[in-house]
Amino acid sequence: MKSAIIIITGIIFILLSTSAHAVAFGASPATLTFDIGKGDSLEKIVSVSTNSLTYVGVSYSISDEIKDLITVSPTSGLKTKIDEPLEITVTAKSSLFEELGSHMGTITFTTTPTENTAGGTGSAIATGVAVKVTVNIGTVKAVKTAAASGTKSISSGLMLAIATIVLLILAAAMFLTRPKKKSKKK
Amino acid sequence: MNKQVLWLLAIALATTFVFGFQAILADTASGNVTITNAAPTIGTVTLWNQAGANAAIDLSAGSTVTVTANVTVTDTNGGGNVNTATGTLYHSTSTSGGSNDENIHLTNSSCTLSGVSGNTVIATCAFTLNYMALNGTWTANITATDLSSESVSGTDDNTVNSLAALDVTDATINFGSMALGTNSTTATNMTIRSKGNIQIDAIYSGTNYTCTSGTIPATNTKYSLTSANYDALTTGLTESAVTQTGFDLGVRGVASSDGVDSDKSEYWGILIPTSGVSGTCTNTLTVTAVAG
Repeated sequence: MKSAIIIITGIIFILLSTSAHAVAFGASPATLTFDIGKGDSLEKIVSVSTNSLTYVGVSYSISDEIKDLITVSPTSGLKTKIDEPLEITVTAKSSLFEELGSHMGTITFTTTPTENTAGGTGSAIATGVAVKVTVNIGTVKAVKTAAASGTKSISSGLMLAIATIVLLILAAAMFLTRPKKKSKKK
Repeated sequence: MNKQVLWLLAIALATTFVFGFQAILADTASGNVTITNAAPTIGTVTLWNQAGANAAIDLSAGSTVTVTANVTVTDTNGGGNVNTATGTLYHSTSTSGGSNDENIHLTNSSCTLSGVSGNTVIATCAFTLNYMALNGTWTANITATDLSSESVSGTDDNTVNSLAALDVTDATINFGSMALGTNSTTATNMTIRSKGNIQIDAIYSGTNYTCTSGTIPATNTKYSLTSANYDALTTGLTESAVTQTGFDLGVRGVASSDGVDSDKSEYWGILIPTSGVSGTCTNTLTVTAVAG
């Protein structure tokens, strides 16, 4: 009887001394910058992570300023836990008619609260992280390299020069291989 | 006849002496060869990210990631002649010989040597990066040493990305039991803890409170960085997100001592309407980290 009381007291003490946390939650990188040309697109990866031992549901929202320029993937079934970061592909895409210049906004990732308030008036706390996004639309075109997270840009002027050289080579080849006119016999 | 026999014996003795002496000389020479030590040489060091890719490193909120650096070491005395390998991983604000520091410097004093093949061996150093490792350029330095204590070093750089992250040390704010028309005479403390590697601001938003009967607008909640009674709290909670730009929660080990969490307190209060609500009222308060 005495030992049972001691065990129950111990359990109660442990429960009282273990304060519940919201979970640590974050995103890396915390800022994204896209340099793209009109009609161009570019992908980058954001790693969303937590130290929660169990899966945490994640939702996202894109601020109005960049809503027309940014898409994320995947869009559903988002969840993460410790050692299983959520890899989000963020794509910036500009239409041919997009205005030149910088567009700034955020992509916000939010967890669902892990606990409800127990009795009394109060708030269940959800944690979130906002990734600052800047989309610079200019005359520079961005070309995705083979490396997953790397990007490389070449100027539209260089693209034009390459295209001109290719066309000149084709024209020269056609000129040299043209059928020759037969000379008229008198 | 006797003279011929003597000549034959003399020739036999001379032959035996010459060849026997040469044999003795040959045996002596084979035991004295000493091969001098050749210093090891090192190939190209690669610092891989947490996923084993040659790309930037993403840290994990409130947790650790393991990254590795490896290199092929060549020793013309044989790959097995390479005896030990050690490594350091350090931020651009530190050096290879710097002191260990959770923000900027790590050491692996026992890297793995594997895959001996002829004159080569692969040295692999693993490092555990905690969430507070500063963003920017990090360098991995691997030093390999052979049995004659001759050593060689090589380095590679990689980028640690910024990580905006936080934790709230309580999962709820509980204002307790309050009467109609009253407000919080003392604010309720909420502790926010840095779990990333950059300074952050906090963004707050909240839903309206749903009561057993009736609702309380989110705007009836106020908050402030300093403790005060309800009327002195500075900012009203809204359903749309509002950034507290002066929050400035620093990185653990930078804004606080090494090994000590970097925390900030936010103080909360609520005003209960004079009528129209009863029972228990709850809402969801979202605390969001943003680089700031």
